[in-house]
Amino acid sequence: MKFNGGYNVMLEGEPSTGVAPYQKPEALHLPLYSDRLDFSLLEVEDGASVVKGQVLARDPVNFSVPLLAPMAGTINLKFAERHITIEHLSASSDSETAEVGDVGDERQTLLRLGVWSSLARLDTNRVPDPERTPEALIVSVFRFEPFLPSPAAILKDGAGDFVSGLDRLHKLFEDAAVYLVVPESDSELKGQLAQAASSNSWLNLFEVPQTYPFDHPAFAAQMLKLSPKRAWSLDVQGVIAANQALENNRPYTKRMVSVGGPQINQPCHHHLPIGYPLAMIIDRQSGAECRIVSGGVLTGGAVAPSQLGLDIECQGLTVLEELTGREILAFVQPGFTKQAYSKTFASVFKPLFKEKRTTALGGESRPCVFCGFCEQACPVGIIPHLIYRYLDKDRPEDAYRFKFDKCIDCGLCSYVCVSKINHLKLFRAERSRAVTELIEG
Amino acid sequence: MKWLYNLFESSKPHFEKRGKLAFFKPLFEAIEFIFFYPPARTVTGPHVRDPLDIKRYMTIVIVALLPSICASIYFFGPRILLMILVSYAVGGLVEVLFACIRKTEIHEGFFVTGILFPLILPPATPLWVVAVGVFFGVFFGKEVFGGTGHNIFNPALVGRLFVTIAFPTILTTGWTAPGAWRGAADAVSQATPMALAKTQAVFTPVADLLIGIPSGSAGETFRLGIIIGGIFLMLTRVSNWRVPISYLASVFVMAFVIGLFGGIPSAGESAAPSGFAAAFNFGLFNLLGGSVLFGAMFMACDPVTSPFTVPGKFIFGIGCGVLTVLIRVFSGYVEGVMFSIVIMNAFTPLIDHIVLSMRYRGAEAS
Repeated sequence: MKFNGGYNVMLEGEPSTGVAPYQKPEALHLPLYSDRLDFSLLEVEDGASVVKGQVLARDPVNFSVPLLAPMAGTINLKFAERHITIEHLSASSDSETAEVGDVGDERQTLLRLGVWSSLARLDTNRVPDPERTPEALIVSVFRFEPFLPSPAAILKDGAGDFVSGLDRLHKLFEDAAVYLVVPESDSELKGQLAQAASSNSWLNLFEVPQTYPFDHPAFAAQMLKLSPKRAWSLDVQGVIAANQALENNRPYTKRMVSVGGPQINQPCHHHLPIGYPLAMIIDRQSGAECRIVSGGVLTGGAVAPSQLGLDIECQGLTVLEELTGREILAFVQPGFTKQAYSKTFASVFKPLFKEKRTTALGGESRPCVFCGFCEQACPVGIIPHLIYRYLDKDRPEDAYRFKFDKCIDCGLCSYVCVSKINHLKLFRAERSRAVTELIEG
Repeated sequence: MKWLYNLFESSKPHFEKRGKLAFFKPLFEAIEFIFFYPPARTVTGPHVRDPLDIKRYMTIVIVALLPSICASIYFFGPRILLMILVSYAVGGLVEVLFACIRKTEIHEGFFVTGILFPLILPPATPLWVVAVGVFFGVFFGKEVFGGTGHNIFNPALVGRLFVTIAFPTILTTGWTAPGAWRGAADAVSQATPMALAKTQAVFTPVADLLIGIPSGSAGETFRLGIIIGGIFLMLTRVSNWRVPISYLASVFVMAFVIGLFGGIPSAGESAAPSGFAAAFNFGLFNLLGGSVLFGAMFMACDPVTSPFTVPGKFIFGIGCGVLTVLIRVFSGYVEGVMFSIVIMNAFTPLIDHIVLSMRYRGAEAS
């Protein structure tokens, strides 16, 4: 298989695979929103006491997926806007869990225990319909975007739980094929997965070069010629959570989160309940103005200052320093400390190094000069500047004619752009418009 | 640099909306941002960006031109510096005026146009011709199309084409002999290798061409420097190798084929040289003689005016090469680089259109 394009952003502060010790919080602040979900239907009242695993709110748009209480305590709805705060967290919370109602079918179990919302349809990136069944399930085990949780941290105790989770999902989805996206390079974990794949015919390894965004599930689906409408993706933690939900009836309320970036003192992983105060995780090096990015630095979103706790979909937090200073004559400096997609900086004479990056745009916005970098970096072989031009002129039909539907929103075109054009923003806007049209039409 | 920063900060209010000098805001900003980068941040994803910007991108081209610039000053004297100065001053004025009227930023593409234009002129071109040419090139070659990124033709070539047609005698007699300004050459003026080949069937030796002994346009004579600069540009990825390489290869192949079929010019009544070796030499001479190298390395590969599709780049380069040799051999002009690139510039949108419609043919049907 031939891989074109792709690029690794070398960012300083990669989280180590170590998991930081858990510090008990005073209170949990559960945001009622996340990237894809909006828990607008509250199921608890102010001052009520809840037990672990109790439904706090639901997202009516996305098949009523629940927001579950990670610990027992007392509800405070007035503490912060669009948050549910759980105070007076009880120490014995781990033993008591919410009463299990009717044990329905396995899909209902996954929905009820908060696992289902980790699934995503590859064409729309939305939560899939529990009534439907995918043809294939794609799990990206190793992530290359800085920074998302490392499988070495999540699967510390071996891949056993993970493989049995895959087995359960495979059976649950009526013998859907399962694809694991793994790098070509060998590792102990990959060896274990390869062993599992050799003994299970439904389990396949899809090997990719260790370059962003070849780890992207949508990219794998394209390369494997799977229909994006009938392929779903799930992350490693979701698979383990599915296993524990189906085996032990355990709600999925804790997340392994990577915390890294140039501004973090000791970049590592944390295993935390949803709603865990962000202020307790972010250990900054300096008092500089910072931006917390949830998810990877290319595709993730900035965490609003009003968000107090870990949201339900958060995977990794990367802290970047906001650009404040103004560089002097930057365009004529040799650039030993800067790495670029092109070979225009003196750093090409040095071996690859992790770079301390800020939120600098890196220049001024200019019209496209057709340098062709976006096309060279694009992993799916489309011409981003051409598509951008059509979308910018409000001619989406022409954009789709040039295979805009292949775009996986990896953001590399915007990253490498010499003219600092934000393709990703426009592409996402068009996609959400198309999805809305699809749903409403 | 603190004092300079303070100077910019203190004069900024004059250029703001109600300030006395609000009209010149683009100029002020351009100068400020040359010294101090704007503190622009990313807003949405990708939150980090590549550090390469247009300013550095264009600067790399100028760096690649440095061997040619230095050689041209060495060969033709400090008046080349004056020509560059005039080119930058007049062209810059047009650029600034347009930016001020349009109320947009001043774009960096001009830094390249302004240096390329004097380098493709005969070294003895009067300064007022430089001024007229760069004015025409920037005005009609770029700004009327909408500025950087929207022009169809290479602005420097538009200017060169204009002065060639408007002042034919000046532009065909300005060939100073390299080194003449400091008394290092016997004659003041000298025919170019292409003219010698066409009219007298005298082929300048390859070694002379490489180090720049014969005359030519200001920047085109030191061909070793052009090759080094061109390779540097390709290695930095600022220029795409496909255009220059296909251009150069097709010039060689085309001239070689013409040479094989007896198309080499001959002096007087002697028979035209023929045979494999003669054809090879003719190909090599066409590759190194004239401004093919300069044109291929610095003019044809301009990303705005050449196709953006990969096959299109090859078609463009081959078209340039074939046209260059055809004009050289069969037309009244001794050199065809300028015409061929401008003609192919005009075909660029068509080439891209055809390549795209072939590549996405299946998509249109479905």
